[in-house]
Amino acid sequence: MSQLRRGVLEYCVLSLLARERLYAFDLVRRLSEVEGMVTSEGTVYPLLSRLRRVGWVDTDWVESTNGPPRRYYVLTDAGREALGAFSREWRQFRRGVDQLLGEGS
Amino acid sequence: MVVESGDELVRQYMARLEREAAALPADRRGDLVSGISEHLAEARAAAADDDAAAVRDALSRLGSPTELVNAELEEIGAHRLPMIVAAVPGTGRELAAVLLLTAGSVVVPLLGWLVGVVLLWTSRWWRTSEKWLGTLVWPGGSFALLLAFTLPSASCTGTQELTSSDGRVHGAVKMCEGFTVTPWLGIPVALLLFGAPIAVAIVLYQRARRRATAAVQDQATSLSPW
Repeated sequence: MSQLRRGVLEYCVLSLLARERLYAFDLVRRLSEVEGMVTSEGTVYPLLSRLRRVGWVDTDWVESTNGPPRRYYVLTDAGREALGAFSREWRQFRRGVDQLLGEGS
Repeated sequence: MVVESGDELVRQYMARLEREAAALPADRRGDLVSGISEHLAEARAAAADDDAAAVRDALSRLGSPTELVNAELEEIGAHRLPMIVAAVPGTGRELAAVLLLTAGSVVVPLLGWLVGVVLLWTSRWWRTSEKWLGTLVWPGGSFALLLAFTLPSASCTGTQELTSSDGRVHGAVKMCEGFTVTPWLGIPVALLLFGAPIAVAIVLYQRARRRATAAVQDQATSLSPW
């Protein structure tokens, strides 16, 4: 199950960033507010690091009015494409799983 | 019991994280440590009271340093492991094929070469033209080459004197069977015929390896996380 969750989690990150740029702490808190999405907040950081390495997200340092500069995460065009492909597959996948689970009950 | 301050708790946590992250490549370690450090600073700034309880809460939400390092290792491993696993069995057959086509046909005449040809044609890393090249560079392999070279050597059984009808000896003739090739032609031809199958074997094996490696790398980079 944790495999499935981690696989989906990265697309949830992309989806949050598709609406607006976010700094890491804010992004992590929004994810952990969703029930069952993140068990340990710190494990999101290795994921963010990989998304940056594969070029799906980018980072920008932005000066903060109260405190040190913040590193904001933004979605790249490649990330937007990956998210689009996932959304289509996910809907189909979810229908299939629901159908199979529904047959059992 | 000593009640630790928030600063002290953060310091201890970061020290443990840095110790456990020593197993990671330097760039990953740097990203992880700075990310977590920034996160804790933000968490403390966002808390209503920046006290030890708020820090404990933030630390327990983060997870243990071991968990974070394991998550980082998983992120790295998910993209490296398939390459290692798939590269090992990749070209063992191809190596066997080229060895059988050359040395194998001397050690186990004909059969060794035949097995080599079967392996050559069942490999997915060679193009058809290369398979023909491997087959035809010397049909029968190096063993056939050895045979070909033992045939043209003359074997002499002795000499026969030439005598005229009055019984005087005019001279003698060497009695030989077979034929010989003059050295100035024979040596270069021999080098070419011995060298060609070996050169072809080396080139074929290198090509197979290069294609297998490239395919495995493509597969690893397009690997989905689940």
